[in-house]
Amino acid sequence: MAQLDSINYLEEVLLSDMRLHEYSEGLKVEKLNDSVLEKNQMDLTTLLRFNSNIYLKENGPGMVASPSFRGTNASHTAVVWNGININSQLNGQTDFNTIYSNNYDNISVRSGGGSVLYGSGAIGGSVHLNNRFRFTDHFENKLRLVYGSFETKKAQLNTSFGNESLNISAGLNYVSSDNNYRYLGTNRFNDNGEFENLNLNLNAGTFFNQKNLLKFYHNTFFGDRNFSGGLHLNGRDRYEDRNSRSLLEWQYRQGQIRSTVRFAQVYEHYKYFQNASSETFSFGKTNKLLAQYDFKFDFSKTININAVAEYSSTKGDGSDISDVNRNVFAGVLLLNHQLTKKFGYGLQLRQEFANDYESPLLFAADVVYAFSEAYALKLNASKNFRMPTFNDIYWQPRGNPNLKPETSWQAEIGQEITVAEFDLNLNAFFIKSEDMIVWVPQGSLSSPQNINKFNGYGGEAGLGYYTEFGKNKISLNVDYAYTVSENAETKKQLMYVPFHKLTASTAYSYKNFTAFYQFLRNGNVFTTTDESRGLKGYDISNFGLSYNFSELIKKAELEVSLRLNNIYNEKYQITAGRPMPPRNFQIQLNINI
Amino acid sequence: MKFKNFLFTAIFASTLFSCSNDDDNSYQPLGVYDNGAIILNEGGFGNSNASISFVSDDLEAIENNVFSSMNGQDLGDVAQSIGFNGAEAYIVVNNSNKIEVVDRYSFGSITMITNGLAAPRYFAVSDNTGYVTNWGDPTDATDDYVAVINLSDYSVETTIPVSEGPERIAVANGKVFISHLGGYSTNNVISVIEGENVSEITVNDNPDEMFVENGSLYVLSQGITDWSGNGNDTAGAIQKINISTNEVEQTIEFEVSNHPSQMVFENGKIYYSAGGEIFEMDANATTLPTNSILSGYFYGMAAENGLLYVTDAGNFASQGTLKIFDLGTYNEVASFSTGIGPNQIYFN
Repeated sequence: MAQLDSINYLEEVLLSDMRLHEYSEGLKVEKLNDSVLEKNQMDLTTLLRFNSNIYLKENGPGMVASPSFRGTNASHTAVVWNGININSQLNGQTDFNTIYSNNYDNISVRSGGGSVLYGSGAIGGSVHLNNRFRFTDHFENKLRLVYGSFETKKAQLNTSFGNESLNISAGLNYVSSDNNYRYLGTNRFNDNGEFENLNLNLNAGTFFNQKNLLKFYHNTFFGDRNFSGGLHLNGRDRYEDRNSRSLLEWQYRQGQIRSTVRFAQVYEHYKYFQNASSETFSFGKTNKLLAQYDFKFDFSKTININAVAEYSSTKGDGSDISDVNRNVFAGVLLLNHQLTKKFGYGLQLRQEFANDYESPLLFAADVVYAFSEAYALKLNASKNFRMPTFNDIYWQPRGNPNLKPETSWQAEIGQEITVAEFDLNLNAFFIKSEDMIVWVPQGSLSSPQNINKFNGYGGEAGLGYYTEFGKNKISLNVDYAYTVSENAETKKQLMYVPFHKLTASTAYSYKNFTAFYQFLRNGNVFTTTDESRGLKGYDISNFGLSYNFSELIKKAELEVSLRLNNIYNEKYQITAGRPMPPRNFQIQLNINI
Repeated sequence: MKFKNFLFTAIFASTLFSCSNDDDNSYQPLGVYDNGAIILNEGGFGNSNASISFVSDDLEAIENNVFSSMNGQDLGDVAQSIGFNGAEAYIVVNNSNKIEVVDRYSFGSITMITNGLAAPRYFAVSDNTGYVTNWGDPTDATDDYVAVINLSDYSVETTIPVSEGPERIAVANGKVFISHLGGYSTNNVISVIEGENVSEITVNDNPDEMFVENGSLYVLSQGITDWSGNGNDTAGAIQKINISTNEVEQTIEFEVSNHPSQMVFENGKIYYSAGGEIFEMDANATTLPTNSILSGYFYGMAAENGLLYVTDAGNFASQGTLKIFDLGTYNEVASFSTGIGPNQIYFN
């Protein structure tokens, strides 16, 4: 519950996006902790596919990946980096295969609407990539090397230095793969699927006195991927990404006041080569500069308000859009009130003023009733939006400058139950979206229009279990989602939204040894808008073993792991016509000094 | 000439004996898919969901997924067209860079041509040799070519470089005529392949459909559409080219902003679509008709036996529609749900 105490203050200093904790009481927020991040593939796509309710679609491993959260489309999940929304200004989405989990200290999945806090696209939910500071005496280095099937190589180097008032950390992350696996049941191979990605991170924080903290966060991503084909088509094209994000934050804390000034830059640049061996390309790039003032006032231990004023200016340019400019001013008001020990509520408002679209008034309300330590009931409702993208408005020649934002209403009820070592989460939600932008044929041409309406509803159930006895530790997590998401007029389920998704993972460790097993069951999906064709569902299992040689070398920790993916060699496709890899392995070496 | 006439009469006479109505038990249909229309569904680009549908002449029902039912596998990605050689159908699958050769009456697979093709478009036979137009690399305007297919072993024997965007093929007078729609760009020529020689005939911009009738090659050019709205459009046209002299003998131009998109010939009449309307005119007319016969934007069009077949591809992510109109009354006589992106209609 939102009460100010010393533990909270410490969190404010260490964490980057406080609003994720302070203003999401009535929502389901799941944090993927370190041990989960360690046991999973580093690309965000695979991490979330096996550890969240989000359905991830990709055109083959490493290729373009997009989320569907609670049945919503790819631009209705916001990816938030240290509190800053980084979805592309060009297409409103984030390619989940350009984000690697090992650059972040924690990753959280926030289910449900969050446009008031995080802006455009936070409709089905949001994925939070956060870095954390450590103001203690330390100097730590980490090296991780991975080698796996299909000439997959990963190398990661992290260093962190800190003391009471300073923390600097830097990281370098390299991933490459030939990705030339055989399509099971055929003698064809995944051709032209090679990729090579590099991430650079730099984070620095310093107290210049007790009340003033300056933090800097930076991440740059270089992606170079050939786009693989499939069973019936040859891949010939190539894609380059250059994305970079920077955030400078000055936080002032005095008594009941917390005042933060933020400056951020979000830059994206892609080049698309229709023929990988030619130098001809089409491109798009945007550069967003953002200035934000955030004022939080704690009236008491039980009531606080937060007011935010934000101005951002984005310039875009590309082969199909030219010299476009978007300026947005946003005002946000947040209130959190713990009315009684058991009952608390929150109210949130946001209004944006933009030069190229009319934003609706957005709001959110949430309520928590904690019946006991073991049972809490949560309710929330919100109105969220997705602004028309640069491609929607400015694409030459058929962009539509009169587009309205897509808007969405939702309501949710959640229950959190704790019994002995078990945690149970039960959620039911309803989402209604309209003015959805679709490119509609008009005669022999196409133009984007706000015409589609979608209705979605569903339920999620999650179970967590953890126990320790002696030197044994056991954990079990099961997550199930049932999602109906249909076009309100045709009443047909959306393409690539499965009705059922089940994930389960269990880990057992004894002293320095750990074994884990992950399971995914994805239901059937339709591949046409009229439910006339579909892809069969699939079951995928992964298995891993690791051993920690921490006593071997003084002051250093050495861990070796082996991971087997798709252990039953299942033949499956996530996108029609593009088979996924057969059984494959990865060996990992972790050295912490 | 005389011998040719006799031969023609003999052939014509023999067909009288082999064609008969349904009541006559002596006629054996050549396969399940005889006496009807083949609908080619190109599928969504990149979605590998091309398919074949069939509607028999009684217009009772449509059968979808003909190729995959027969062969147990999918057709591929973007099926652009079908060309025929006797009982063989050559299905040109553009984005899979292959041609599926099947029996046209059963759709059973005969073989596949996978080498030597790069963004293939259309197939036709002239003098027992197959010709396939190829766009090559879409970013390279100089690598477009025609692949020459040996029809005994189905291999690409040689390639003939041609100008950008070669599209449809018409065969007449021992010559192979190729319309250059322009690929991703624009063009305005008809290539003529005569033996070893390649020459070009200049026509209006973006030539596409062609048919041969009475010693003339009729070409429909769409004209250039200026998408920016600055008014730099060029006029489309229906042109008649003498197939002996390769000279353009007649040009009927459209209004600059009215770009035609389909043209078929049936029973002495030309049917074409422009601006959301379908028009009918005499093949030897010299001006365009003022009134349309039907309205609607259609992706594919064909005419046979007094019926007009048109397709609506919808959003390329769900079933398309086939509509059949009677060319005497202009009334709709049948409507069916097809596969995804129906684009061509052929007749068995």
